[in-house]
Amino acid sequence: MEEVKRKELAEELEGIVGAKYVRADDVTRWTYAIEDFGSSFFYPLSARYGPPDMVVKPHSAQEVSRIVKLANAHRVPIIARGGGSDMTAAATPLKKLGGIILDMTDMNRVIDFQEGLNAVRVQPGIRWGELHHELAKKGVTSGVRGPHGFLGGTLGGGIGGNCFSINSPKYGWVNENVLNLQVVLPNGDIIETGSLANTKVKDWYYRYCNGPDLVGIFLGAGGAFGVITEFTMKTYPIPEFSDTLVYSFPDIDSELGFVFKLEWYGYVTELWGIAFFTLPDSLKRIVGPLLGERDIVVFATEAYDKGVFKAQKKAIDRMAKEFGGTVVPLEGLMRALGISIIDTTEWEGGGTFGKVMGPNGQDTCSIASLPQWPKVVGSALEIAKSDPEALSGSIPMIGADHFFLFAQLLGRGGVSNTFAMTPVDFSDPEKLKKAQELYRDIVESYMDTGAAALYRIGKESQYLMKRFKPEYISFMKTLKKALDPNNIMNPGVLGLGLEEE
Amino acid sequence: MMRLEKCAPEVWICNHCSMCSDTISDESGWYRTCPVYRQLRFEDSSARGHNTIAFYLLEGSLKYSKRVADCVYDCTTCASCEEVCKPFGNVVAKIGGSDLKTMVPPIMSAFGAALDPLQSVEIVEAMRADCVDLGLQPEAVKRMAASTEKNYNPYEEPHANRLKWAEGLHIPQTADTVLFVGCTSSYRRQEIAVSTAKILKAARSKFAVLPDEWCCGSPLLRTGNVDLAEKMVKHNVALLKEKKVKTLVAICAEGYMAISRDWPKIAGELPFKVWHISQLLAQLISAGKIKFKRPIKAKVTYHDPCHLGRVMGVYDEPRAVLKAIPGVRLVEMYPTKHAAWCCGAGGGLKESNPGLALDIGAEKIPLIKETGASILASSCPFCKTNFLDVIEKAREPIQVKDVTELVAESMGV
Repeated sequence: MEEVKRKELAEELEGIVGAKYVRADDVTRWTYAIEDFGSSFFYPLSARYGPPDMVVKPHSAQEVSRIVKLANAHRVPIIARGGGSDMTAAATPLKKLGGIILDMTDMNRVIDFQEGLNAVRVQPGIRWGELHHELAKKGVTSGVRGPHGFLGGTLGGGIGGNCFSINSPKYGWVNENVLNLQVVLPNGDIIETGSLANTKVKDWYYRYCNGPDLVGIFLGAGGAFGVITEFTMKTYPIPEFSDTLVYSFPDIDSELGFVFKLEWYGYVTELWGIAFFTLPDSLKRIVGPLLGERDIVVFATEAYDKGVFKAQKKAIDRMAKEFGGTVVPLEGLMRALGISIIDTTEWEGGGTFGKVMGPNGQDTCSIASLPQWPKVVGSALEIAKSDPEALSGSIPMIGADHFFLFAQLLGRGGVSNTFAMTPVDFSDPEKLKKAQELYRDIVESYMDTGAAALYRIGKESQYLMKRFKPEYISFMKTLKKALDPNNIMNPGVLGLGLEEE
Repeated sequence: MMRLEKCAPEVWICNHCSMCSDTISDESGWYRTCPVYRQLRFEDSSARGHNTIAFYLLEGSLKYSKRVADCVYDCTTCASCEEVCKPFGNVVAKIGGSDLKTMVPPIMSAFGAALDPLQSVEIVEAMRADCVDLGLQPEAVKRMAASTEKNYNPYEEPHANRLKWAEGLHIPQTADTVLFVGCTSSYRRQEIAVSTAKILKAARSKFAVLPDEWCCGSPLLRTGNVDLAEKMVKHNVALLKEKKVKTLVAICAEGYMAISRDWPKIAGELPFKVWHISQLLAQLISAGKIKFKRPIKAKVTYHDPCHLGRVMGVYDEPRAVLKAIPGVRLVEMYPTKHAAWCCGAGGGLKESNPGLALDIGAEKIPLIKETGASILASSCPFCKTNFLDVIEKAREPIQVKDVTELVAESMGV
């Protein structure tokens, strides 16, 4: 954007939100040209992404509406952004288009809590840690505890990015818990969905009412169809009884069979699965003598009643034995220390990934059906091992310097999540370039088995467009054109609004 | 070559996860993290933003400018960003609180495994050093450095007046144990220096103060004046070696951190032990050498100086000293210890952006009031100075005292 136009637009925005909440200087703009660590993998060599033209902090849906109308008048892109810990590039502008970033982190209030309805109404800029804190005061939980973005990630980014979550095996993905939305449409209209579309309803939160479920098109859309300014989500009672259990299994098929049944019976809240063959040699040398060359499942189980809890654990034990499972006796230790994998977000400091696992070039996740998991993991490993030198760097915590693959089995609905992560040597541009190419291959393999989260999928439309059915693409484009004829809402996300490419 | 380049591997490691900007965790005691982000609300004002600025400075998209300087100097170097970034730090805090958090790194280090967080403060300080090299630092920082070069203190006070506070106290200038008074207690918060000296004399401790003590170097290191800091440190170390000092006791948190952590990096292994005054007082109390005469019947809450607590891991000794004072009822603020909120004065912010320093300090008033305490105690003259300004501005009936002042008062010295 030309400097003169930038200045004029900034002045107009100041008239809406106040001068304190508009920034158009280079330093601020560049600090918004990055997301989670996946970004740092790409930016040095990327000509595709860049800084916004300015950053604005709105405080209400009305302010967002006025900003969107202004952006429409000037044909300037709008990109809503929360904690900025997303990895999909949905919250970073395309370099050639720039745009206005709406930093939503001041729209961070809990607006209402409906005890009788077990629902909470929040603004999208609220961070996960704050939501847990506020709900704990009411003696309830959101169930889903948040994505990798740790406690600093915002809920708005989570629902816009279709994120899975800690505790998804029990409570589903975050978006399965969303009831109503308040959305500022690309023309500036403010709509409310579900039960709140009824003018007579003020405080009853339900998703499916008198008409189609319009919530769905905004969830996971990366802001392509509007800016979410409020939403309601389910809350749950906090289970009184909880334990973290660990079992080992003789092979992957047994492990998968157990995980599927465990989730199907509703016994599991959160679960991590590790396949022995995916571990780097350094870890195999530690784990092998301790547990044998077996595959491990670590999971949390919960109940509201002591009797039910005891019976549930017995049933789990029977189920594990059915698949050749053996108890790894860590339950007592975890309980004595007062920790559980349910608190996964609290387990880690922000630097855990970088400092413990090494200077991460990238990680990426596959979302696929549970039985596909060995195939997904196998092909990712094969690609990575095709050039281990490219994916090398020091991982001080485990003494490894090559590919490291960590696998999480989400379980929910038979869905697996393969979490691949490697160190990368940033100081060697050639090596870095090769590493990027290998990662692209891994993402391609993930996409062939279902979906890939992260890795800039949000705006790397080539992964999506060559796999989506033409009728599906056409329908999305029709929606986009109808709602956003000037193509101002986060152009590029999901491959929408970039017809010229 | 930019000084920042040495930090490149750290910059690349940053996950940009935003926990350093704003984290709340009931399980591990966090309620908000970056004090500057809390005030300024844009990403460039948090460690994450600073790391991103560093990333693009290294990558070449950004160049150093006055705006970059303003941004990187708006930081108290309180290290809450590093604390929340410590790998597995939150689970450690949940199991064993601040104490375990302090114990774990040396244990891990013995096994050859480092659990250091991303060195966000070091990255900020490297960018500040580049700003100094380019002449972009704030005017107040320039003045502070000029004064230190001329007077060996940042306060534009004559060096000859360094021991003026000690007049009439008859403190020797040679002893195995030396009190490192520091510039703030020497020139601005003399009541802390006087209280400390009176306590030690009453406890019959043999100690000296040195008229040729220079700035500890910490304010210079924090604000990017690295070369001048090295000059200060080398002078002090040479002086202490010449005096054959065996134990050095720092009155302030800043000095204790600089001497313990920064001096060895500049001058090599130190031939003397380093204590913070709170550690010495706790030991003297345990040994029965401090006799309290007057109860102080008050609720007291303790502010953890960032550089004493989070950086150096000294949480318990100041509390032990306060609890030993008859009549004192110690009540904790929330958040506290490893997650305690900064006073706002650190990292040169009090000089470079005094309004922001006051705003940050004022955020702490509700936390203090919630405890019902009438006295806010601390172990850092710098924290005391900022809180005095904050409390005066807010017209709150809260007394601000250094731990040493309360001890001296109760001893009747």
